[in-house]
Amino acid sequence: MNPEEVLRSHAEREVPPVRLLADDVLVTARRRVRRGRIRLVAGVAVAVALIAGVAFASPLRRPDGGPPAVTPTQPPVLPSRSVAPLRCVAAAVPAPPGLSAGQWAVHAIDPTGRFMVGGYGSAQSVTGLVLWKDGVPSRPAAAAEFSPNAVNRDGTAVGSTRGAGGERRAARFRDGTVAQLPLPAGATSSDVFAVNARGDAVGYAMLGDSGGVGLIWPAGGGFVEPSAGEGRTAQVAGVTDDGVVVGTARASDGATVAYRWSVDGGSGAPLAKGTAGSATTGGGDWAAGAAPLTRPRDPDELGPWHARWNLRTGAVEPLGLFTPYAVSAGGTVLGRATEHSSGLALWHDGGVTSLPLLDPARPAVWRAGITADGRTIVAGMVEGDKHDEFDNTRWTC
Amino acid sequence: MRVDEEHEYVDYVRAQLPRLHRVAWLVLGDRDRAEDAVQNALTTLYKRWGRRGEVDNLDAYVHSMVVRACLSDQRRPWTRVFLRDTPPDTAVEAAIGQVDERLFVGQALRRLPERQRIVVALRFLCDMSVAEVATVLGRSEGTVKAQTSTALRTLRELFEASPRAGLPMRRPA
Repeated sequence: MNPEEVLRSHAEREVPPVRLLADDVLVTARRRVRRGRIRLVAGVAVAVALIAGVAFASPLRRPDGGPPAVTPTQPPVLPSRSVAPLRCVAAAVPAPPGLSAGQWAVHAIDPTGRFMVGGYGSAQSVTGLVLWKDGVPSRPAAAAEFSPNAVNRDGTAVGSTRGAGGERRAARFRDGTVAQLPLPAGATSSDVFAVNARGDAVGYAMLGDSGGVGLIWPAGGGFVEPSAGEGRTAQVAGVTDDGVVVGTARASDGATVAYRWSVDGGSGAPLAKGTAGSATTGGGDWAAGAAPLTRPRDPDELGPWHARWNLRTGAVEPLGLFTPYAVSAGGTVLGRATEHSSGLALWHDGGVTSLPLLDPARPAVWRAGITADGRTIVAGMVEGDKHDEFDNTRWTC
Repeated sequence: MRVDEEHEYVDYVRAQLPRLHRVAWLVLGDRDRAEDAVQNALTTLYKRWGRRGEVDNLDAYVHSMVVRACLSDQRRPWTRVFLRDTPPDTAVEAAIGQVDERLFVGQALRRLPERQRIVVALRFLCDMSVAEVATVLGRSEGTVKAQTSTALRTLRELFEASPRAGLPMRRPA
C-alpha cells in the first residue's frame, strides 16, 4: 500500500461545509481588535498607577482584586432578564443492538419526542439509519445507506442517501422505504435539512460550478426553487408546521437577509425589516440564526450576533453570543451559550440553562435536536482525542 | 478600518472561506477547531488589511496564515493532528470487521511524531510543495524532505502491518 496515494486519496474527500459567514468573521475580528485595544489601555493605566505609587482604585480593577475587567466593552452575552434556570437530567440514549459507542450517533428528535433518528456505519464510509420509536431502536434494512438530518411526528425522516456516483443525494425515509427526492437538472449533490408535520421538506442542491440552490419539496410532490428576488439567491434551513420556510436571501454583493417563504416558494419576504443575517433554524412561530449588524453607522459598533425572530409579529429578540442550533415550537432555543463555550444550553425566556454532560470529557456537539415543548433534547456529544466515541444523550427538562 | 475597506475585506473573506476552511479541516480534522483557526487567521488579516498592497500574493499569504493558525492550535497539548470526518461516517461495520479508511488513516497519522505528522499533512493533504512547507514551518527543505521520507516509511509499515480491523473503536465500559 502506497501511503502517499492513500493520503492524497484521503485529501480528495468531501469536507464538511463551512459554517462561518464572512459577515460573522468581520464582527469577530472587530471585536477581538477592540478588546486588544482595551487591554492595552488597561495595561497602560495599571502601569501608570503603579509608577505613580498611588493606591490602585481604577474602575478597571475588580473589587475582589482580580485582573482588570474588560466586561463593559464586551458585547452582551445575554439579555439582562433574570429567569430561573430549568432543571434538566441527562440519560444515555438506548443503543442500537450490535453497535458499540463509536459506531452510532443520535442526530435528531421529532417534535413529540416519540421518534429519534441517528446514523451508524453500515459499511465502509457509508451511513445507515437508526430509528427509535418510543425509545426502541431499530436499523431498517432498506435504509442502510441513509443519513438522517430530521424526523417528523409521523416518523418520516429526511436526509441523504448515495446517488449512482456515490454523491450525497436528497432522500426521504417513510413507511420502511427510502425515496430519492426530485432535483433540478445538473444537480451534483443534495441534502434535506428539515421536515414538518405535513411532510414538506427543505434542503439544497449543488449545481456543479453554478453554486447551490435552496429547494423545497412540498408534501404533495415535486420540488420548488424559492425566489429571493432579482439578483439574490435563496438558502432554506427550516420549515414550520404552519408551512413557513425560513432561511436566507443572499444578494450578489454578499449581503444576507433572514428570509421566509411559503412552501410553494412564493411570498418571499424578510423576517423583519432591516434585519441582516440569516435564519438557520425554525419551529412553531419562531426562527433563529445569525444577525450581525454588518453595516452599522459606527464601524466599531458591535451588534447582537444572533437572534430569535417571531414569525407572526416580526419581532426580533437578540440572543447575544448564544449560538442557536435549533428552536422549539414553543420558542426555546437550543445552542451554545457563547461562541467559544462547549456543551449545550437552552435559551428560554431570556435566561440560559446549561445542560449537564454525561461525561465532561465529551462536551462538543455533533448533532442535536429538541422537541416542540422544549423539554426533551437529544445530542451526540464528542470531544478530545477520542473522536470516534460518542455520548449519545437525551435530556429531560 | 474604513467602511469601504471593510467591504473589501468581507468580499475577500467570502470568496476565500471555502478554500481556507478546507485547508484547516484537512490539517486539524475537526470542524470547530478548523473554523477557530480560520477565524484567528482572518482576524490577523483584518488587522493587516490596510497593508495588503505590500504582499505579492495575497492568497498564498493568507493560506500560510491559516496553516500557521492550525499549527498554533497543534501546539496546545490537548490537540493532535488527526483526521476525522463527521462521526457517523467514520463508524464501522463490526460484523465484517471493516474499518473505515478515514479512521484508519487518521489513526495511523496519530501514531507519527508531531513534526512528521504536520509535514505529511501539509504535503499530501494540503498539496503543498516541499518549498512551501519549508517556508511555512520555518525549516529547511532538506529537513522537510527527510521528515517526509521518514513519515511515509512509518506509515507504510503501519498500513502493511495493520489488518485494518480491530482498531480501537469503543470506549471502556
